[in-house]
Amino acid sequence: MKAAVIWTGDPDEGALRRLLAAAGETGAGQVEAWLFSKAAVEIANLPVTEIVNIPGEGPWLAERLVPPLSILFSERQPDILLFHNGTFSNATAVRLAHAVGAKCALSVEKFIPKETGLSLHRRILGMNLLGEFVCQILPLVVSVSTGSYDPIGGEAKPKITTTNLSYGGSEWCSNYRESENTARETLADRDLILVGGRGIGGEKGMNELRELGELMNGGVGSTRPVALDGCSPLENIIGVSGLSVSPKLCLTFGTSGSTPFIKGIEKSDCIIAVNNDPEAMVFNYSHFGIVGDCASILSHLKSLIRSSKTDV
Amino acid sequence: MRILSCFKITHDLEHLPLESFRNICRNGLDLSGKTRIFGNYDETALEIGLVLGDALRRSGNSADLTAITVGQCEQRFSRRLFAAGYGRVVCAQCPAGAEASPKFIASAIRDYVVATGGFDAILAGSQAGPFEHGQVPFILAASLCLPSLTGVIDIAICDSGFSITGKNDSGIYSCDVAGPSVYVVGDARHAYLRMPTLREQLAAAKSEIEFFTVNPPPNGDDIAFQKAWLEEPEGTCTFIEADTMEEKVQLLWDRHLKELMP
Repeated sequence: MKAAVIWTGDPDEGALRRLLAAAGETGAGQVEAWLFSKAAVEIANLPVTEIVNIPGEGPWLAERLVPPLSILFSERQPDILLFHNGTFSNATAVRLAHAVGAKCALSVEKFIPKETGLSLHRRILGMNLLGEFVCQILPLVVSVSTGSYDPIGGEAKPKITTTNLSYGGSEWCSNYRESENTARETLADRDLILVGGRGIGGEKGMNELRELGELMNGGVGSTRPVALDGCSPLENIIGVSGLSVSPKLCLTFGTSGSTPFIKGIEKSDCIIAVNNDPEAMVFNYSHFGIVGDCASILSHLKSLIRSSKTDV
Repeated sequence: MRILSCFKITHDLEHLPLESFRNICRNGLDLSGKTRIFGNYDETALEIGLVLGDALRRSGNSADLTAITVGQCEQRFSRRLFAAGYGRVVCAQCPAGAEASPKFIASAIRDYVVATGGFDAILAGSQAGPFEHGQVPFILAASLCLPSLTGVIDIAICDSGFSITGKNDSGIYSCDVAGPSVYVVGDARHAYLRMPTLREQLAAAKSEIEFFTVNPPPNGDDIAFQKAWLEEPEGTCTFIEADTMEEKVQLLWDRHLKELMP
């Protein structure tokens, strides 16, 4: 079986190696990497048989990549094509599958080759459960939740090819601009991240949390409902629909512990939850917990830090 | 301008305890008895459709708003949509379970779009239960030969058509779109469907949902669902106990936070 891993934008070797780990799990004996970026790149040691560069300029829109992808697909005939899970790559995966008549599945976390077909594990029911699906007919286009994989090791000397395939047009779209998500950098580098959920008490509670974040040099994020209520920026949502963080300590205030949120903090070294409901699901996923009122705990904590700073 | 908002009625799973999920798994994904709600992102798409309608009317344009679903749609949902401002609510009825196939849903909506002469903007949520395929808007766009923009968080009117703001993997993007397009709505600024006034509800009380029947293809799902299971949490939480809240906070500080201070 032949697989192709597809990367769009600036290549990230670590993430590519995670995709390659997923490709290996499908049982593919031969794997190529197709790289769509501004300039041709050489990741000299990547353990693939061939790196195919398709250089081009943005904007990165799904329909612009489908024409060159379709040509590569018909030329090279892979059985399975793997994208990393993301808003843009998911759109591209589905449109490619439609264009070439392949099957499609998004956000796959595990592959198990079986006699009946290729078993795919994905999250279902609001990400709360894992589901098994079986694909009996190839080719298959998937996006992979790369966070579920460790980067594959090993080195090889792949053949490196650069194509002159053209990206599709984007006449329908003008004035395209992108701004970096500063929240990603701000939160990704922190040892401490504080997260507010609905139980924190709306805007007032989030303001208190931001004050605490400043005192402790911690990053501040929120669950999706808090952001949608306008109490925190959309860019700072933590969870499946936002950022995944992995600080030394994640301190949550008034979060219920729904699975989509927990997926965003589960890689933290230590999770401490504050909630006034001792039965809250968040405690099932936390290392430590405090049952109590968020406002009171925030207030005590700020006083304690201020007095400790004064003492010094 | 004609705007189509696609929605799905799903189940409210946000506050269910773990035991409910264990039961759902044991009973073969039986969701009967669970409260039915608009899909989260679909509700946002519906509200953005209304916001867009408001903006069009303010700028002197006409706004023809239609909401469409595939599967079942109780009257309380359609009445809410009529009262909120949708002029037409359409339900493509199909055999139970068929609405789980993204290709089938997309083809049903495509047929409606083609039969009714097309729309200037088609809005859909980025994810909807139970199987969270997340594919319908993209298949719909591809089958209608329309472009699609994903992660959309805001839409406004501009000279060339629509001015779009969206969130993608690297940050926030914005662009202007001319011509019909499919907009896949993510975590947007207008997240919840507006609450109609009593007057609006009374005015919409006699509006009728339009039904049409669609039949799924005989060969069924391409990728067949087999089973579901719950990842059991480790459940090793140690509660910080003390007589007073001040003492609890002091313990939290001493044991976990002090060492992280700059």
